[in-house]
Amino acid sequence: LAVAGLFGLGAPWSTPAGGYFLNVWQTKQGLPENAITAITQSKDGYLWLGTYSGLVRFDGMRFVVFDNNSTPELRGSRVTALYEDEGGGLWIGQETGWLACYKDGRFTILDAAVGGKSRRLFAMGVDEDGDLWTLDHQGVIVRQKDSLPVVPPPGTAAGQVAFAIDSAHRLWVARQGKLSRLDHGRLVLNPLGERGDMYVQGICASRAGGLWVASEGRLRKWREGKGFDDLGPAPWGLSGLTVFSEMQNGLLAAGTVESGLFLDVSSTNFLHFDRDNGLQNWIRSLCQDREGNLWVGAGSAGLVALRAAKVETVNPTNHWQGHTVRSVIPTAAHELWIGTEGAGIYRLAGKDWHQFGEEAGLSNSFVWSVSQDSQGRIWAGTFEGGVFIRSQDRFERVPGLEDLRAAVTAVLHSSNEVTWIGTGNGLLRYEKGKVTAYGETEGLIKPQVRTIAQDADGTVWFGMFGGGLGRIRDGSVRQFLPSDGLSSDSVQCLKVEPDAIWIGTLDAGLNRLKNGRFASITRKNGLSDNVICDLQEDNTRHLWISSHAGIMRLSRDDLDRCADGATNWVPCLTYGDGEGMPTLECSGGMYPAGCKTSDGRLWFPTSRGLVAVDPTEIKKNLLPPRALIEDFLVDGKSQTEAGSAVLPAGRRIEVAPGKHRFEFRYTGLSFTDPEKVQFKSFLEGLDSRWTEPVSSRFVPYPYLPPGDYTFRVLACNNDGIWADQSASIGFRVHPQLWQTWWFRTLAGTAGAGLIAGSVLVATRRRMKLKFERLEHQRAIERERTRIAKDIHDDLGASLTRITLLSQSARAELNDPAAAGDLDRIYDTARELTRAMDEIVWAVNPRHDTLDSLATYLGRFAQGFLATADIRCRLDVPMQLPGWPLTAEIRHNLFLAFKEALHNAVKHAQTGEVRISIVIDEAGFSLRLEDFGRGFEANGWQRSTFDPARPGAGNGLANMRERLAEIGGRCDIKSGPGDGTTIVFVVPVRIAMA
Amino acid sequence: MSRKLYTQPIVSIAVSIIEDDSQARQILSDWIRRAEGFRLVSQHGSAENALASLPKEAATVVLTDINLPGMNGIEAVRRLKPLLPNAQFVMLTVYEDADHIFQALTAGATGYLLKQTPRPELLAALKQVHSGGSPMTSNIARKVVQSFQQRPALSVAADAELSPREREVLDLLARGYLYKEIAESLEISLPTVNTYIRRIYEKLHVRSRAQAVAKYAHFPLGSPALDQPAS
Repeated sequence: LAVAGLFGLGAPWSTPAGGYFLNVWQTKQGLPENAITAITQSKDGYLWLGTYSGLVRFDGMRFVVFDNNSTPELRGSRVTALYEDEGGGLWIGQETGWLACYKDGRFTILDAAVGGKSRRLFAMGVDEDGDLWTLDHQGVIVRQKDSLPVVPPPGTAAGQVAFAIDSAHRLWVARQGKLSRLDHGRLVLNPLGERGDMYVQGICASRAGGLWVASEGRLRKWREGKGFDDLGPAPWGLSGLTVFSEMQNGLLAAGTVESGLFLDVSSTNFLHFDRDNGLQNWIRSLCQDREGNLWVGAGSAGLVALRAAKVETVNPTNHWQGHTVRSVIPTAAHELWIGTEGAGIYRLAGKDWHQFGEEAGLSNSFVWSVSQDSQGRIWAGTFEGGVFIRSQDRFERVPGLEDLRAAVTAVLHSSNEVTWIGTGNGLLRYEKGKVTAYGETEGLIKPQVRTIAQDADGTVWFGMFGGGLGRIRDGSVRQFLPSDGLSSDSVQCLKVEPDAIWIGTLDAGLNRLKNGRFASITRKNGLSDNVICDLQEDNTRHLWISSHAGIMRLSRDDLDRCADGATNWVPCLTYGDGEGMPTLECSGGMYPAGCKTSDGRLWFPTSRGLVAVDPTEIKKNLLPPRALIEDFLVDGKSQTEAGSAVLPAGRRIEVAPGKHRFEFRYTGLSFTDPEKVQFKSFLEGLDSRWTEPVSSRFVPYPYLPPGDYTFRVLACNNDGIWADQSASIGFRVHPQLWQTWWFRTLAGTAGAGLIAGSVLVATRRRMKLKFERLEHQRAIERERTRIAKDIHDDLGASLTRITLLSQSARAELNDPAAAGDLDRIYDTARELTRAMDEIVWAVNPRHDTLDSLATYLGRFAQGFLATADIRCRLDVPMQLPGWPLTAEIRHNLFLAFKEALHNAVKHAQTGEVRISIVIDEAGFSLRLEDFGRGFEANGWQRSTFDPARPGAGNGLANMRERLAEIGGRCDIKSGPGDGTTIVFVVPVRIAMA
Repeated sequence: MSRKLYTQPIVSIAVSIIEDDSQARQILSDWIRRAEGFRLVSQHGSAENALASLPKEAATVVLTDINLPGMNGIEAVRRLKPLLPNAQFVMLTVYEDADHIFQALTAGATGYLLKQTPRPELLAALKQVHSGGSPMTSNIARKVVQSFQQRPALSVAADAELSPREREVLDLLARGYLYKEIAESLEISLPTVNTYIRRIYEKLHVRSRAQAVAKYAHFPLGSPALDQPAS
């Protein structure tokens, strides 16, 4: 690991140290407690944590706690040690001396007490004979099978214990600073041939054989038959080590009680993490996962991940006063000049920072643009404060532009002493005090300039928010808008090349303008984000694009092929949380919003500091994650076996008939950037292929016809590396009585063949239709979601505008006739919005549930009755079954319900309407009681016209029809003076259809 | 007495608007600007912009669209609420989609308004929110009850659970009672009902933060499995 530095100097600005960054999880993220006593990664890939509030399993996203309450067989919750044996048994040592073993989802408990005395377990290990030993905090080591205690002789460092298992499976103990070894259960004193009084602070095994020994303030390596190598003084001095281990890179990690963690320790170098750079000083536990992430339990800091960053964050000591970084440029003198949103300008020279603010002459501290002209002077464009030039350590207004107060968003210096200045209302050409403006008066539409570039011919290109792309060639101006093929009217950044221009937009990805034609590349083509903040090219033909989803790296050739139409997919590597980005949100919309320094590094301003990437150091995470199916829910019920935390392995799960909600919950064990882990799944027996990758960790299925199924899931890691092996679970959905062969046989032999046969044919046809429908269902659902979204977004926005405009206009109007018209426009638009609301609700598959129906009807009734000044009472069970309801059912029910409400308001003359939903085995019923004056219920069927209730007969007939249409029933009970009760009965069979 | 009232400073409500439709934003801004007792501190066209500048502004009520391009209004509230703990967030929405509104409320909002709301009603609602009012409808109450019934996968502090009285208020709301009917039936004052509701909102925020991890894991909370978060 290279200690990162700017231009070869030390790196005081990068936190916490040496290219590592921290992520922290605490109780608010789901840990039961912030003190982590032990950490280990099991062979299946989970991270296991010990706390005083239980054992915790972590998959990168979710903590699952096993404690005294959830898992009584643990006998306690105070975990002090963890160890996994070769056979995959996880041993859990507790403070009370109980020793639990977790294997295949089940816990067994052993007592590690000796002579009735409980022991606080410190470590466990299996020796060269396959026997398990437990070590307690007194330094006494006990063989579990026969409770044989071995008491190594103590040294003088009271309270200190160290433990190691070497590559030959021999156990080593340093008790109170004195080292011993166990050979086949026998104690070996002074095992290294060392002096009997040597003070040993820590020991750990080396993968290459031998033992690392921290002793008497020095670091030593001991090899069998070769003795000691002295590697010099140890950075931790004479402190006892709480953790000590060799990492994947062969270097050492060591933790102490009072002075933090030492990392990458070799004879010449080390990194130090403690309270001063984000960790705490008491290191309790440490584990490196297989991807190389370091997991640390420190004091009460929670779970801390230390990872090597691919992105370096550069911050001055005052951290930009908490402000966003906006703009950055390098100078020939190896300085960086950085503009910020509220903290003025910073200059970084070597490792020296200097800040320039209002006291240096800037009109305000919102600096959106920094630049350097051909004479080497620094220019600063401020937000609504004009533009400045640095002279000595002062910033002064630019001659000829003293009165400029617009937002200066971009400054570009041409080679011929011409400076182009982008402002909120146009582009300025500045030459020796003379200013030419290109703005609305010059014919530009919405000329809010955000970026400027110039090509080799001297043509100036500029991007605008709202005004698209502008071009000034030989003094004439041309504007390109979406009507010309640009994918957005807001352009944030430009990259000019001899034969093409790359255009980054605010909201619609990347565009390429070549031979007069625009081609766009967006998220649909593989980009991680459509907000393009800046474009920089490295020395290997890759574009680095800062965005609101981190920094993307794309091959120029891939981009060209995609823009040419030869492909529609661009492989995209994204640097985000897992690579050390302090935020995913880069700064854009000003120029320059990124730069390249002479050492090849690329720099981007973000809302949480300035970041740098070294394009020559691309390290992919090549370890594909294992996918694991954690649970299978049928109608909400977990299929894990009693007393087990996992699904039964290697055995088919049997599902009783008539179940209609299936859900698989799974995880993918990659810890480098768990939010970027993606999954593909495949239900054999239903799906015909793998799904598209998704990040969600569960997948529901509404209904599955009887048959055998296998659910498979695959995971990929943060860099898109997919595992070869899928996790799978097999299950059988059993048929209903009439779906079984013996029913058919029985029906045949009983001579009822004809009837049974026709039932069978009908059933089979229905099942087939159902099956086909299921296959189409997903596609249709996607389409419905899209339609709902379109209606919602487009029509909704326009209707809102109409209501607002008509109200505004109404307020300014004195003409009563026109005002009346406006009121009608307003009312119509509101009515239309309400109607659209109903359509959106009916169409969106998200609402295909009884709960959503209940919520919607309740809300509608309340609004409707409130305007009529009638009390509304709702009686709906809080938890409703998860029956899927089709849009058709919901729509018809809603219209019938509306009709019923309408009747109640219009005819019942009541003060209260009660609405209830009742669930029974047959299905559900929706009941509406009005306690009003009622009517002669028997009459309605004969007469379509009731003089007392004009139109009522028609309304009631409508309701019956609507219910019949969805296979339900409408019961009406009423009598003069008795009020009216209308019940819509919907059988489950229908609800599930 | 009247003199004393007269000399009391006129409290003006500092409003910020987040709305991507520039015309709608303009009109709403004008309404606020011209209304007595209100002050428009800023208007933003996107959540991203609002995130960058709102913390510097002294808005006491933030009126935000739910459906914004880029980061949506719900996420904006989730991020802004910790930065502006004293500001009240009111969501603006075209349709009364209970799921979206509920999500916004768990994120930190204390109310919502339909975009078609007439000007006087909109201003009245903002005043109410500013003075401690906490609007909640029966369908939202239902979702709140469901969410609190869900046994959290993670430990949630006891003070984030509902008190029995709060639970009563919620139950009545879910059953269709209006605020004044609740006040009558529980024999408490109308402001007390408002206080209960506001406290319920605060507990909802606390829980939602505690469950953020589960949420990011996309395990549905308090909703049927099919009810995935809207894209």
